[in-house]
Amino acid sequence: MSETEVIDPVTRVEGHGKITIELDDDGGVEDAKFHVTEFRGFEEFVEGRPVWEMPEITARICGICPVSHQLAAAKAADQIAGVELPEGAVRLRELLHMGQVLQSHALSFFYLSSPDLVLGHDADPAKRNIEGVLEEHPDLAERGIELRSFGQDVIAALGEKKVHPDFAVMGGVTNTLDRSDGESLRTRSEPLTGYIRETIDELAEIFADMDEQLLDYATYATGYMGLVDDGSLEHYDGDVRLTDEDGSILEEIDDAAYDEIIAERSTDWSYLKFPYYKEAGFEAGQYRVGPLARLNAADSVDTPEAGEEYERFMAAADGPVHERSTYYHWARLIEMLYCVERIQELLDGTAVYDGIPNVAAKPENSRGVGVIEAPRGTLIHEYEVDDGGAVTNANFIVATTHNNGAMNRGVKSAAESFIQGPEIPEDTLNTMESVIRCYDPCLSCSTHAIGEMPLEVTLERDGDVLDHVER
Amino acid sequence: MSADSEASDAPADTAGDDEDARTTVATVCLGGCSGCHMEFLNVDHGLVDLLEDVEFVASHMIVDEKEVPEADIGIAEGVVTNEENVEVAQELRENCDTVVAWGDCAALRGIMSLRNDQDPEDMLEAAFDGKADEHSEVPTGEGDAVPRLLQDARPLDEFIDVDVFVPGCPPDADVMEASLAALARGETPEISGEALQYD
Repeated sequence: MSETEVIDPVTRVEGHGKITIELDDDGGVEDAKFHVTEFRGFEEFVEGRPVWEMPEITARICGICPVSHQLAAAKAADQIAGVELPEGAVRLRELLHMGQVLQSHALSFFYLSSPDLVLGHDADPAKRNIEGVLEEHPDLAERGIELRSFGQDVIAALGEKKVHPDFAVMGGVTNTLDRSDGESLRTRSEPLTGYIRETIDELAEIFADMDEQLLDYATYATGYMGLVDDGSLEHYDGDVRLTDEDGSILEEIDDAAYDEIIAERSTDWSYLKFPYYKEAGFEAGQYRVGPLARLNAADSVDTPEAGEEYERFMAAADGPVHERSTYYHWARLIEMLYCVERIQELLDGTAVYDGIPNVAAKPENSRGVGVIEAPRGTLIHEYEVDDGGAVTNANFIVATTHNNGAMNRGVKSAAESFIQGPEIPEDTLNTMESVIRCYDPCLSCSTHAIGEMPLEVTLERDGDVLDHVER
Repeated sequence: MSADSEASDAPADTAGDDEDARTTVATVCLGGCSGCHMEFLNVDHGLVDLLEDVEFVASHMIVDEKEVPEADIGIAEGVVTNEENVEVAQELRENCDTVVAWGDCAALRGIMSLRNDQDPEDMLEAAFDGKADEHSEVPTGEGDAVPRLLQDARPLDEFIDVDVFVPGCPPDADVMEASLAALARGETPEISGEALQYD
């Protein structure tokens, strides 16, 4: 019987994800699994409820990206109502969404990942956090706090609350933006693009100095998925594009046809399903979503500064696309730049102040699908309703779910690189975590451990504990 | 190298630090969305000042600590929905002097209790067998791969004694910050008027 290592926080405070690693008789890695250990049941308990409640209820799936769920549900509900939204409503929703993506990316990069990047994977765990970054690199930490705060304030200017705002509804949004709020946000946005570009330069230096094994421990070919608008990067509304491992287009489809190209599989060892590209089958059909995947899938980024950084990013790829999971961080910063520029463009326009915020909407169709690029990747909400508009079936595929196959592969790849034999190297834990952290899994959408997943590794042979590491 | 020594030293580092006079706080997330933790981070730059009086010895957004260490104040977000949540709630009660239920889920049971009129097994069957391909399996919580769901999602005070309730979905960051400051001074926070949210 082979040995099993368990990275297992189940009896611990953040026990919503864990990793198990099976070793063969020679101490080599036989298999590795990333388990998601929480189930919340939203797909099931919304059945029977009116579809117009979905934007408000499903926002509670996640406190990190509530806006993404609210918008995906609202877009699906619009389809069920069969309404075209006025320009004002569309732009107000996009503005809300850009605030959301910005604040979430800022949390991921500055609060969760920068401690590893600027203090080191092997830094003292007691210091390897935002407080440590505030002490050692106060400029970087303050920039991160301001970027996150600004994104949250864009959300609050529209929906009153920063977390769980009630703004998007079936048929549009509840109100337009107050002009004085818009002007003060516009003024405050001025230094932000500079903050992000300085951070991109710092990150490029960190990567240039990084040990090759750390840089490449989760580098592999997969497909990539992201929304595009005429080929350009898009977050709020566009066609769903799926590419192969070279970035060549396999599919480019309308939201509602998602189930023609994607199937899902569940296992008895995780509450998180595994989606895959139907035509290629389960093994070959794995693809990634999120910042790296979106930039790999798109042909261009159509704001000036983010466009420049996108060109620089793609020029740095070894092949036609970037395969390194570690470069998710770089892609995330480029998207933050895009968000700030889009917010500025929207605030400089008139639609968000003077546009019509909503139209009358009642259930006319029996099915609606809303697809949006949540911070961590493509988010799909599908609803079927009866004649009265009560939900009869709901299916959600959240971003973290699409990346489940890739995260499992990354964990296995890292285990193969760093684990040989029964002794567990001291820094293995944080390295294993950081594979998962690249994908910034929104474990609230499925668990909550976000990026700072606390870990415990136990190495066992036939039930006897051989080694044990925790931190 | 084996890190056995680290494992046994780690709790002592955080729990037994006499030189740090700050009030110690541990936060945990049970069955919730992390929205309360997110809203708390909306103190933004106020975090810098707060860290002068308060030390977060565990909190998944800002600290790398996996245990529920001993702390003056223990804060829980989220409803109790599976066996693991019960375990963590009990550890929080054992290790912390004052326990706070943060947000509607912990204080009142919240949105996830909408699942309570369904049988968990039927729900898992529908979600994992009914909405996945023909090779799929249902994670039932048999064995130890994933924790088993409780029959119902229930609020924290049905499992452990709770000292302070801060409702809201989420409670406003200012309310959380003021409550924490009051507790750090040894006072019972007064939450009334606009600060008392039910949403």
